[in-house]
Amino acid sequence: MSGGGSYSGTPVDSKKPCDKLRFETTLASPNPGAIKELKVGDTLSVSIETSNGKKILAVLKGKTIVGTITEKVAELIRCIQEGNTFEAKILSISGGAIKVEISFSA
Amino acid sequence: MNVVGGTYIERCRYPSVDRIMGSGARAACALSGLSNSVRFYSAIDPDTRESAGVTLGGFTLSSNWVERNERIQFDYFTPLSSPSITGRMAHSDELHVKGEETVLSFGMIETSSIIKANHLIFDPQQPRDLVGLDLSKVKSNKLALVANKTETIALGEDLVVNRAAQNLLKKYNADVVITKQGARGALVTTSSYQKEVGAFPTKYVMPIGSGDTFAAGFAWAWGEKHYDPVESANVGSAAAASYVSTGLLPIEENVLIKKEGLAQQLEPKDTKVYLAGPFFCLSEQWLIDLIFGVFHGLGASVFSPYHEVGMGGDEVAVKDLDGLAKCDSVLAILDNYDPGTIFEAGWAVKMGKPVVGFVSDISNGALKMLRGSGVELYDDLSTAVYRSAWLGMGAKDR
Repeated sequence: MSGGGSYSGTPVDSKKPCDKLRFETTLASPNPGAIKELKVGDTLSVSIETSNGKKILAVLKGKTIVGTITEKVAELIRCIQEGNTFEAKILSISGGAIKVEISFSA
Repeated sequence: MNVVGGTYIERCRYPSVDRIMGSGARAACALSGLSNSVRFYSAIDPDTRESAGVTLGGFTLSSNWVERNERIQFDYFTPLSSPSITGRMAHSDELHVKGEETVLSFGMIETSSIIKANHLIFDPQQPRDLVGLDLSKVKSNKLALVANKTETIALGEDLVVNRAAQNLLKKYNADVVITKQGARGALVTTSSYQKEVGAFPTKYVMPIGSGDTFAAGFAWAWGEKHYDPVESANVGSAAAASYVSTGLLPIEENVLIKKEGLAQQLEPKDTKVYLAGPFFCLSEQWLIDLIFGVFHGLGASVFSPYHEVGMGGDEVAVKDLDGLAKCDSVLAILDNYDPGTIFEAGWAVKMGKPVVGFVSDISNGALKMLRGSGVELYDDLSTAVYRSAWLGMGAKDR
């Protein structure tokens, strides 16, 4: 295994309170048409959607999917299904890379 | 394109990462914007299945799963640290991929694969205890092996990587051997030539997955587009640079073909980094040991005063500075502002050597003399380590 002793892993936070869930991530599969309408500081919505028959964690501007979330998927799904709402604040846009901060909103 | 490989939970403490990926999933997602259709073959356990589905759901690819009996998880303290792996004894049925044009296959923890392909790109994914590749279940007209330096040396049974790569080519009757060399780039070996391609330096580096996306870019270029091995390795290098700096998936075609948004590609060259940092207690030595250990795998050599000169009195100063003079760049570990480290950073600046500092409280005003004299400061350890190697190789763009 690893050389420097056994690393016990990151603290288990899958049971973290949903209102404390906050993280930064780069959106996956960004929608090129939607990027043009975005600017740093915009706040977008987060929801579980179905796209081409597949369940995704989508970030939306209005009804348009801007991209998908691939971090903390299990936690975010659990929290949304428990009735919590999250938002995505745009931190930076560089080419197709949209970096957002996901946080609890209500 | 077809991708065969693992889907695993990945977690990291610094920087914070918590996702379902793994080499196979990452490469499939990376390629999903390039190829007309990407078919992904992998194994998944019941606990991870839903999250894996949601993660991959946003990508244009079709997934073919076999059932795995338990979850597999990689936990990293930093991306430079060896991960702790949960689920090493997991198993699943074999994966079958037959009659395909191009297959990119990664070694998996839980199973092996039966593959028949025209172009096969195989990445063993096994840095330790690698004694031989079992290619008995794969058949292809063309074979490219993609391995890191440790794997190449182990499989090629030679401590000199160039010779080991040539041995590997002959031993497995491969058409191409690609040896990934971290910050240095990659070594391309065929029966008629051996050439290095350089890395594209970036301003941020999250290295987990760099090898997977390199392999994905290479596989697309060599297997689908039929570029020659060197140009395919350049495409792989561009893919890795894009992913480690932005985390963006899928990889964009204009990045791979036109190298859009990337800095100038470096010429691979030998470089030596001076590792300046305190080593007066357990935690400080732990960090120095970690960084010292990774440079070799990154394609750079390192002068570590702790390892080369050791503890001592005033007499160490001249020995340390002599060592610094022979280095191309400096990596300074600045947390707690050790006076010796800061002195060495200033000395190196005056000598005209590029200096990179790793410091947690990066906005501290006390750093003004360092920042103001051109020292690159990062609060991300991997970025600082890679930048110190790249600056030593001549990277100019900040």
